[in-house]
Order: sequence, then structure tokens, then C-alpha cells
Amino acid sequence: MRRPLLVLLAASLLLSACTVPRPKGDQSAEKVAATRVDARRALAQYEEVLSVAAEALDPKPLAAVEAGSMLDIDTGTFEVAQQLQQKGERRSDGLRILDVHAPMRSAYPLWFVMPVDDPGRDRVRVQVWRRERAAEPWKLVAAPETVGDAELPEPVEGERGTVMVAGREKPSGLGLSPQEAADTYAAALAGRDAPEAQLIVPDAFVEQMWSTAEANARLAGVRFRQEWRAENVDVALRTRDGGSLVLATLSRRDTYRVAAGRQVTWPGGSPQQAFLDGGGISSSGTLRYAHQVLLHVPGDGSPVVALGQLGGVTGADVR
Amino acid sequence: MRTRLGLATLVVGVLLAVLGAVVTALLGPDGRFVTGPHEVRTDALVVTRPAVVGWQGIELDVLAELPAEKPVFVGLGNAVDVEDYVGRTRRLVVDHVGRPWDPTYEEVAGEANLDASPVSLDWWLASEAGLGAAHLSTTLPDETVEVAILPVGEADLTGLRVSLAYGVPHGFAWSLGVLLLGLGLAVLGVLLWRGVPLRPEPALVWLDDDEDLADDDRPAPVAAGDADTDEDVEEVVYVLVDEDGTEREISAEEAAAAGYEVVEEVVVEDATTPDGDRR
Repeated sequence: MRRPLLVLLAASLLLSACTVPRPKGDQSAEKVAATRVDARRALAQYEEVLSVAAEALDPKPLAAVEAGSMLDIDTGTFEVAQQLQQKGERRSDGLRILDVHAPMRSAYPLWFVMPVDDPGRDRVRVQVWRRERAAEPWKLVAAPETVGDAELPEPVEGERGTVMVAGREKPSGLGLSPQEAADTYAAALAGRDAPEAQLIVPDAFVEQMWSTAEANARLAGVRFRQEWRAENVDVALRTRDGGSLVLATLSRRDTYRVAAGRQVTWPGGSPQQAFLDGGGISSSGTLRYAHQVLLHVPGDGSPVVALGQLGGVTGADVR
Repeated sequence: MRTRLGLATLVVGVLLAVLGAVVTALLGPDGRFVTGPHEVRTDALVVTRPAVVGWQGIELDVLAELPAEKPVFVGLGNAVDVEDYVGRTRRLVVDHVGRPWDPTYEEVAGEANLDASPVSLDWWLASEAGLGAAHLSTTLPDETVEVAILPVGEADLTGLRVSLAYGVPHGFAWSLGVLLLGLGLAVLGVLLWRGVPLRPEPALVWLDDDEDLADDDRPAPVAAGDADTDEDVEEVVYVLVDEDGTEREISAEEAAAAGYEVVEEVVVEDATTPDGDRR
């Protein structure tokens, strides 16, 4: 008789405890930057706007869903397409979300990294989304395409399915900090003889940039100068190997000073020609580029590796 | 032992009953503690500090009313989102509410208008908007949140009146259950404490180990279920007393087979006749 009563009493008290409200304890403000639902919604909105803009060859609607160097690159692409009366090459239809890497954040801006499969181009894009303010929507700020079969390193997981952000310091005492990695890669692009070139793995993009600069430097009657600069790194994730995955945004300026009677031109249909209104550079001029490079900084101190890249002409100044 | 157990049960029962009664009286049949409407003098927006809504699992109702059918918005959002959204705007920050209604406020200077309409934002955990009134009903989640009462469009919050209600999900039923459980335990505790038997004691038949007993004097084995169907079944227990005084219970079959002599018969008066009269 007593035992069933005790069991009933214990069960009632336990069940009561489950429904009893309780104080939350630590009230520090923080949230998961984005959920999968947020990511899907942002991508759906983006694809809709991009489709409309691409159909009209008008980059203006892109400002609602893109920002930063992404908007600059795509605006340049659209202006080239307008000049050449061609449909833009970069169309994103049917992108498939592979993963969502969102950190825990205590204040805006919020951001997350989302690898997506682009079946139309048969490659993976690593999209980076940013929400500058609570009153503003999510905007795409970067989308470097991975090269070849490059595999993304696994990020370190935090609480509630989030990923850990790589801070400004060196991740493990051996490798470079995220900003150092971006600065080193930009400096290495200056030429094969740059000391920083030893600190990176020369990939196809680096080789192409070196070759282009070397070829431009050999142009008769032309003084050519190429400058690279890394912007501040805002997005970097810690990886399980003790290193970091860094989104580096690089700005590039190609300046030409041409001797009298000569002109530098580009092939028909090229973005450079489109930005130069079909002509070339006769006196002096500068072409501006933006490049988004996805860098892996290994935790063991080995050279920095570029996993993906996206870039394009963003402007031209001709005198 | 029985007395101490009874006293402990009584004390626990009384405490539970008092607790259940107090909570039941406070919550009422709708399971809510309600206060308002109360006037809030402001023309800016109103937002709470996270500590004001610092409990999870509480059901919260906020009714915001404005005169002249002015549009009003009430929302619950993560503190990171709400603070960034209203952080640059002139606002009234609620530091503490108190019971039943004893709020403390802080006026914060800022810009006149919000950067965007609250109804256009996708991060509200719960929200309601309406003309003249907006009623938010939600359960507080396990994250740091703030409640905001916001003007919509060109309107302001002049003439704002706020009513609050909060309670525990199914709180009234649970508190009533605790009250009844406490009363039951208290009654049980009294019974145990006073030594009242909790079940009828069986009839005891004392047997002595005497082998000279004649067959006619041997008790016929009585098994449960053999009793007259018109009478209550009487449980018969056979207790054998050994030569050294040790008592042990044996079955009716063992008693009949051994031929023991019945030396004492004790009947507990708790049976009734078919007419319902006590025997």
C-alpha cells in the first residue's frame, strides 16, 4: 500500500518539476547567426532577383541581394554584358545547399558560410552571406568557386550546431593569422620573386596572374605596374587541423603608361574592352579588379593554399 | 516507526496542500496572473531589458492598446536582433516590472524613427499588429529575449495602455492536482499516525500440535471461495504454535493433514449479512 503511494508521489513531483518555469540564468545576448531556414530563404530570394536582373541585363536590382565586392564583380559583369549585348555568364539556377556554417554572434553584423553545388557550372561555390543590420536583409558578399576537386576543411563545431570563428591571432602558434594569410597571398601575387611567394602554394590563379603581369611588363613602350592589396578579413573559420578557412578579398590595380603613338588594347568581347568602351589605353589608364579568394591556412605551419577564387573587372579610369 | 512515518506524511501533505491552494488561488481557472490595463506615458517606442522576461517556460500575454485606432505592434525577439533594431532610436526601456504593477523605466535618447517597419522583419520570434490594439500571446523560449511595443507608420505611442498576463502552462490543473495530492497525503498521514488499520485483519485460527486429536475434531480445510455465496468470504488463517512458543502460519491443507487441535479461534467483526446489516 505504501509503496504505490510513494511511487505516485514521486512521479507527480517529478512531472510537476518538468513544467515548472525556471530562470534562464546567464542573460548575455547571443544568437546563432543564421538557421538553415534563414539560409534557404535568403538563397531563394537571391535566385529570384538575380534571374530578373539577368533577364533584363540590368544590375540595379542586385543591390537588394548583394553587397561589397560581390556586387562590384557582378555589376561589372552585367555592364560588360550590356556593352557586348550578351547574356551574363554567371547564372545561378537550381543551386543545392551542401551545408550551412553559422557562428554564434552577440551583435550585428551577422554572417554565415554556405557551400552550394552549382550543377550548371559543375562546381561548388562557397557563398558568404552577411546581414549588416537587423533592419536589412541578408546579402551575398562573396562566392568563390572551388578549383578542381578541392575539398573544404572541416570547421570546428561550437555549441548548438554553430562553427567557431577564427580570431585575429595565429590559430596554433605555427601558421599565419587570417589577416596575415590574406596579406601574404596578396603580396605573393606581386611576382615570383616576392619573398611571400615561398609561403603559399602557387595555384593556377597565382600562375595566371604572374604570367599576365610578366607579359604586360614586356609590352614595348608601356610602363606597367600591378598592385595588390588585401582588404580587412571579416570572415574566417577555425578548422579541425588547427588552422583556419579565410575569405580574402583582394583589390587589384593594373596601371598602364603608354608612350605616344602607341595603344594597349584587349581582345574583342573581353571585359577590359567593354570597360574601355571598345577602345584601349593610349596615354595612361588603370583597370580595377576585385578577387575573392578562399584560403586554407594549415594548422601545422605549411604554406597557405587557395581553395577557390572569383574575380572580375570592376572599373576603369582612362586619361 | 508507523507513528513517525504518519507524522512525516502528514507534514508533507499539509505543505503540498497549502502550496497547491496558494498557486491555485493566484492563477485562477485560466491559469494566469493578470494585471492591467496600465497607462504608459510615452510617445517613443517601449522595449524591455532581457531580465524582465528572464524566465523560460512562462506563458506571456501582452496587450497593447492605443486610442483612435492607431496601428500598434508588439513583438518578442532575440535580444541581439531587437537591440540592433531599436538601438539608435529614442525609446523607453523597462528595467523592471514588479508585482502586481510597479515598473521602473529609463528614457534613452536617439533618432525619431526606426530604420524599417517592424512588420517587414523576419526575425521576430512572435509578433502581432493591429489597429487600436495588438495582443501577443507566447511562451518564453530558452534564449535571451526582449519584448518591444512599437509604433507603425507615422503613428506614435501616445495614450498607450498595457495589460500583462503570465502563467504556467496547465498551471491551474497542476496546482489543483498538487492540492488534492497534499490533502490525500495528509489524510493518509493522520491514519498512519493514529494507528488505524488500513485494511481488514483476517480471522486467525490458532492450532496446537496435538497428535491425539480425533478425526471429528480436526478442522475441515477452508479455502477461499468455498464460503456461502450469499455471505462475504471470510479469510481464515491457521497459525501453529510450536512447543517453544514459535508461531508460524500454515495452510488449511497442512492443518488438516497433520491433524492439529484448534485451541483458539479469533474472528474479526467486519462482515455483513446479505441484507447489508453488520454481522
